[in-house]
Amino acid sequence: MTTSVDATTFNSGMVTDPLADQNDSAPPSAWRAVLRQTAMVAGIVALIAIALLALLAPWLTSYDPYSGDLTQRYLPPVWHSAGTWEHVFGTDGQGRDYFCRLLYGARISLIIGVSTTLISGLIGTSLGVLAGYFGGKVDALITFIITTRLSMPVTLVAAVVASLMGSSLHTVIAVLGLLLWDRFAVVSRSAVQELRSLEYVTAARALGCSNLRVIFTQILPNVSQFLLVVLTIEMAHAILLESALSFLGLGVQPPLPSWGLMIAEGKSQMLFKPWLITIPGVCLFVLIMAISLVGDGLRDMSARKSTR
Amino acid sequence: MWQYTLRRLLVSVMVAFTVSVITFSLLRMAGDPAVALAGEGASMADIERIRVEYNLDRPALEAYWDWVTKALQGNFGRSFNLNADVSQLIAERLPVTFYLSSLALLFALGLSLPLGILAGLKPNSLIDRIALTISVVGQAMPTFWFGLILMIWVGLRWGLLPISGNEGFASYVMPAIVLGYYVTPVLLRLTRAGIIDAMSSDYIRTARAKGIGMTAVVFRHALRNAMIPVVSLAAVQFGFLLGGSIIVESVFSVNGIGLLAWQAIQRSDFDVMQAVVLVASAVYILLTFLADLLNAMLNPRLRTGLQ
Repeated sequence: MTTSVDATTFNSGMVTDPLADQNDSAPPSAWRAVLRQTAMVAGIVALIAIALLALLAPWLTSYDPYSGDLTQRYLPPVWHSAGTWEHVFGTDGQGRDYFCRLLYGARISLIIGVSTTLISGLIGTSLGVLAGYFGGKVDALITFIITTRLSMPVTLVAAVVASLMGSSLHTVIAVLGLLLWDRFAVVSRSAVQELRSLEYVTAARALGCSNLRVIFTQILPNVSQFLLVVLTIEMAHAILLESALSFLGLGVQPPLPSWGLMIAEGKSQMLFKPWLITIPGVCLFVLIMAISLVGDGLRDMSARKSTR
Repeated sequence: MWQYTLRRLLVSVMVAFTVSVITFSLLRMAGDPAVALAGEGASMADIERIRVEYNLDRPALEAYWDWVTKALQGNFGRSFNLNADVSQLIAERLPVTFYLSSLALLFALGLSLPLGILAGLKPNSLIDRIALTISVVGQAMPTFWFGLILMIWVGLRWGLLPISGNEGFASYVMPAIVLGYYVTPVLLRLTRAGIIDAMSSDYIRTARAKGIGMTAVVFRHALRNAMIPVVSLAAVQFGFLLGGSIIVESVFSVNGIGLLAWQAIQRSDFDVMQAVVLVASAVYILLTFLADLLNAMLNPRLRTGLQ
């Protein structure tokens, strides 16, 4: 290891491998492997289903997510004794079809998840790869940036900045994208540090490949499996944070049907009409669960690959 | 050890300084605070008056210096809406959040330590599966939603616990469970992995070969080593809970700094927002510093800089 003294100055507890706590060092067992694989498949199926529902929303429902019939307010869902098939999940306080709003709400969660992780993944991976590949002063500087970022409480900072910039879908994406890159940076940094000293990287350098070429052809393809795992973690994180911000009134604004916002709107009626908050909450739970199951499966796969 | 402590302290101070610069500039860049403070329908004269009052007319560098030197002396400015000194508000609210976070951490450790140890001792057993389920569910559960569900059932339907406020221990129970469950998965997984690692190590095999009973081995040898990362993670998580308290405190109307921050945001109470972000970061920096020192004391290899 050629890490300089500068870099190890920051061997703080924060900048260790953030996936370490999730490593499954249990001896492999047949049922666990099968279970994990089944869980991953279930996660993938659920994700595809949610994405399809979100995409095909206009064809799946004939209602408008933004305007409702005020004579049809707070209708109960179909499993309720007074429910009808006309409004499967009932209606909200403005008479808007709840199922319809959920479908369009899935779009918001997915947009948040994908665009936030694209931004944060780009920032974090660039920083992490640079730090790991060049080491020395570059590493010291980037490690310092990571440490600083970790010292700022995400939820609090996101809430303050989003509200000051004017809460909207775009603001939330920008703020979360600029905040949630730390794990990408930490993971790619430590992965690249290990790769850098491997023979084929040295060989590529000896052949006269430029740094950029080595990074893109030798390093990145071998880091991608770890980054994919981080991607799922941060996607789930971003979706949960968006829902929380919107719930607090600091994220996506009405009349957009964000699931967090729907829970906030149903809160005043939650004792007598609990489905208003139960249904969007379950949707969030299922989406996050699906993403984490895929992430867990990917992690298992990359762990098995590296032990082989 | 002294050298390590000094070096680590220097880094913490540098991080704290950078955080203060970022906090300051973030809040300035994010829009004209004078306009936000004046509220809708304010005249230009009003906005100008506020600009002068809040030092917004001065160059950024000068204003930053003014703010940070005062903050170091414990003067965080004044809250317009609550008509009180920000430092006094923070001094009142911070203990509430500390108390809530401590209870939350206690709940999280109380759940994750026994479960993690048992799961680690018997991987793939029933208890391991239960632990896995608890951690997977915990990861996917939106905190605020979990809070509302508890509120409906435990608070309103069954009437077991008060649903809001911070009067007495009972009102802290639900918020602490919600906040604590949020950090349980990480602690649980780390404990389990630590135990599995320790139990497969040479010194445990030696101890077992000497004929020491299983219980003694676990409690005297395995636990001690498995707990080191858990302790430092717990310290870090505590700082994390302070930041996360904005959600739980808003749901349960617990009068801590999280609720203070939320109210400040809604009323554009500028000085309060700045102060809360700065204080929460400072607490986090202090805790990670202490956790690192503790780690270095327990694990001499870290001190020498060889990771």
